[in-house]
Order: sequence, then C-alpha cells, then structure tokens
Amino acid sequence: MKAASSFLNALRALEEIKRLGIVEDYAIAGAMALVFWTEPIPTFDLDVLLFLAEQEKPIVSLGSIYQWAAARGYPVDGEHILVEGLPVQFLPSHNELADEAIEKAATLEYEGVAVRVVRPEYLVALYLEPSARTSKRRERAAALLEAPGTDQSLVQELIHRFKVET
Amino acid sequence: MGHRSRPTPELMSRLRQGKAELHAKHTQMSLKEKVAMVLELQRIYYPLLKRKRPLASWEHPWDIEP
Repeated sequence: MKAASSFLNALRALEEIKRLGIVEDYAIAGAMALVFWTEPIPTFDLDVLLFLAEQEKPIVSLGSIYQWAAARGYPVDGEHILVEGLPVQFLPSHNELADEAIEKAATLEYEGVAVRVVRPEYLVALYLEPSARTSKRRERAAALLEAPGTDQSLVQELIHRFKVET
Repeated sequence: MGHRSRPTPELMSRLRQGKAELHAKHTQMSLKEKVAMVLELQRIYYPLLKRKRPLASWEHPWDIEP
C-alpha cells in the first residue's frame, strides 16, 4: 500500500534527488523556508533552489528532474512537479547570491529527515533582489528581519556585497 | 464630528504586547505544528484568494499530512 502523501515524504523525495546525484545540492527557499525560521504564512507551493549535477550543455536543463519525476509517477503541472501531493518548483541557481544561499544552507531535521533550508539572512537578500522584489516579498523579508535568530550584520553584509537593495 | 472615546495608551500597549506574544508563540511552535498551521492557513486563504483572482491549477490546499 502506498504511504499517504505527507510533507515528510516530500522532504524524503528531495533528499533522494541529492542521494541519486540528480542534483549536487538543494535548499528549500520561498515561503515554506519561513516555517523553519519564523511564523508560518499561507503558501501553495514549495520552492527548491538547486545546483543540477554537472551537465555538458552550457544552458541548464531540468530534464533530469523531469525524468526522475516521471519514474516516480509525480505529475507535472506547468512549472511545478507534484511531489507527494505538493507543487514543487525546482529553481536552478540563477546567480552568485543563490549559489551561496545553497552552499551555506542549514541542514535541519524534520521528524527525523534531513532537510536543507536557506538561512534567513540569505532569504532576506533573495527577497530584496530587484528582479524578485514585490510588496509580498518585502513583507516576508521584514518578518525574517524581526526573527530572533536572524544575524542582522550578515544581512547587511549580503545586501552590500550582492548589491541587492537600491 | 462627535467626541469619540479613545483607548488609553496602557490598553494599546497591552494589546500590542499580546499580538507580539502571539507571533512569538507561533515562531516557537514545533516544525510539525508549523506545517499543520500552513495547511490550516491554506484552507482559510484559498476561498478568499479564489474570490480575488483566477487561480493557477496548483494553487489549492495540499491534501497531505504534516
């Protein structure tokens, strides 16, 4: 009998793509990452930043992820893959800030399963990127800045180094 | 304009303190409780969002366990 869909099983699937070498590394970003650092907010998808395994072509392809999803029976819905009932958007790292956000991600535990999560300081910087900045994302950045564990000096350093706030 | 009674600064301060305490309580919940709260928020938010704009096919509450 197939196990019921759960957040836990979705996290297990993320660990699987790393274990199988489909991705070099990944980290949960977006609104679901806030769950790990501050107060939960409503969201309908799970954003996963990732480094794909080395590819021969210069332009990144998500083909290997789609192949894995097809093999596991996970349906595709537009730009999302339904992993254990959760719409997941796999986002290849788009710049050096995102690279560092994945490299420095925290390895946390959810009900005994390891999960990589973008640290709050990097989430703030990603939310303040000009291409991603919306009023909703600014609110999320503000919530993270107020979270007790957020390193304010690191936030300032990232903002300065990656020139994300004008 | 008629005279309106206003709350005292002490009452406003207590109300704000209560709100801050609630946020802090939510922040300190276990991860599993927080995921359960996201699922609950989805159920509340979904009909409101649906009235506001057309939704993408993936924008619906997750039918999962936390």
